[in-house]
Amino acid sequence: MTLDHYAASSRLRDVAPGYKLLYALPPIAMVLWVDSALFSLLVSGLMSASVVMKGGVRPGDYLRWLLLPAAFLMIGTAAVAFDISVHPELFLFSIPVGSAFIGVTSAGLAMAIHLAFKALASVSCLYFIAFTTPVADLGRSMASLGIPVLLIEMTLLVYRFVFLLFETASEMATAQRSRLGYAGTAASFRSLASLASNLFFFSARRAEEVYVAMECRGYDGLIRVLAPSPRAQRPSLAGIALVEGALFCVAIATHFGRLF
Amino acid sequence: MSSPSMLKTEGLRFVWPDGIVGLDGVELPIPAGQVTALLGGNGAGKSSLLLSFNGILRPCSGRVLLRDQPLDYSTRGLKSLRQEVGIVFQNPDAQLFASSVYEDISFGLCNLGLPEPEVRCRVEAAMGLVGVAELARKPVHHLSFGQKKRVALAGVLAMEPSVLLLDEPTAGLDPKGADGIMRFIRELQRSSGMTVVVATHDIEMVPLFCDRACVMDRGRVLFEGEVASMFEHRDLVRKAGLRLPRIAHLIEILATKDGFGLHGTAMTISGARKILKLMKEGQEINGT
Repeated sequence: MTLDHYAASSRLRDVAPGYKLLYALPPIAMVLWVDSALFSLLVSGLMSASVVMKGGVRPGDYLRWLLLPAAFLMIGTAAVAFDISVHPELFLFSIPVGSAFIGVTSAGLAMAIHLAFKALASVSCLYFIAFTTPVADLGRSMASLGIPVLLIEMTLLVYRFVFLLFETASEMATAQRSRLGYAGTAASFRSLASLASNLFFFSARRAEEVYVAMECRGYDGLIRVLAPSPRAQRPSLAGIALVEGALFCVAIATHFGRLF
Repeated sequence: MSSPSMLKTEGLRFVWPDGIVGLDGVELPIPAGQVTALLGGNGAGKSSLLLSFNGILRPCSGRVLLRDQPLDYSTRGLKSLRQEVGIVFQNPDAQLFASSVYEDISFGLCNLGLPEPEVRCRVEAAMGLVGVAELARKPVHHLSFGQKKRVALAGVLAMEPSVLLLDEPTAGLDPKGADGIMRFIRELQRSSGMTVVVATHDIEMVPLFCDRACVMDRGRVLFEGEVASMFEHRDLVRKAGLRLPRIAHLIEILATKDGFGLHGTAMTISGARKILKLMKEGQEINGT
């Protein structure tokens, strides 16, 4: 299953995209501002719970998806935790490298943990949007924010055809692999090069075909389509405001040191 | 057959930019309210002919007539032509471009400049007709190949064309899917009186679902007439790199090589049963 499938079958899919953005974007700002591990954990828990309980994604699936950025998170934050100094007593633990020491300080460790939780919280906010909102819906809602139609049209066309391109590329790669195209470094480079150039010609031909097919249905330079009937649900704004407000209060309290 | 020609070509010649002759003096009437099969091997000119009917390819010489009027290649003329003559391409991935099924079907209708309620009404009717109503909000890349074909068909049917051109409608479908789509087209044609042209090399379905057949080879028309008369012109069919339907071939062999005294010819199972029954009855009469 791709993220795209989850979004298409989410129980929150029919909620107007604007509301979902309103729900998931402000907490990112709060997390960055508050800079507290516990607050980040709270936000991340809230968003994960929303995806799992409201959106209907299986907890196991969700956790597996969360592991994906976790790998990047580990590598990225580990670099922050480590420090170099000539005084070994600064470190919690260290290894000598020549006359200096490389190790982890308590301040570095705290910063790394903060950073990791902040990143985790931001990712789970974005995951909430990704797991509940198909790209097409997101694109359409961009129009109401005043983003040029041409840009949105192109985004949606790219979105449609990137899957086709990916499918074709993987078919070509499979065909190459079945003829030992990737056995050895030299062969791999050769195969990859021909894959890329073939893919280019494929795209050009496909573009031509799509253009002709569109012409057949009266295309005249402007893509006019009608979105599925607006059966978008509009959840109560008060509810969202309540959650965001509560979160904001906790954020203020945390930031000024009364909580956590 | 006295039905008037919906489409007609006169000395139609088309040469591709690279010098390959696509169509070489095609004279072909397409009678109104019938299903015509365009048969031919790969590169016989079937697709070029379909694209000429729709005004996408402009003939180098000769002309195409719609209801006895030569095609009007002005912007306005093409717009009304393409509303009246719809084409469904072989590869649905080349036709479906929008991000959801509903949007894609609405594309042609929006281009016609219809008011929104009318567009919605027609989109829903078309989705119901081909049986993809429950896919309305699905992204196109989540559909199976068969579903994509149906959606592509719906996108054209929604425009309510009077001529429907289908390029290899059964290619890539399983036997049941292929049968289903041809049966659907046949029924639709009967109920709406639409004119249908099917380019195909699926010879088996021609006697089942088509009224007329046109056999093409290297840009020329070798044979054109009722499907039933294909049997008499089987040499032309074979010359085009095609073959007769299996049943017709069997009947031919039974009659010519094995000395069965069959009355008439058949191309379908029901036709074959009929003439075999006749033979059996004849034997019973002779026997008693």
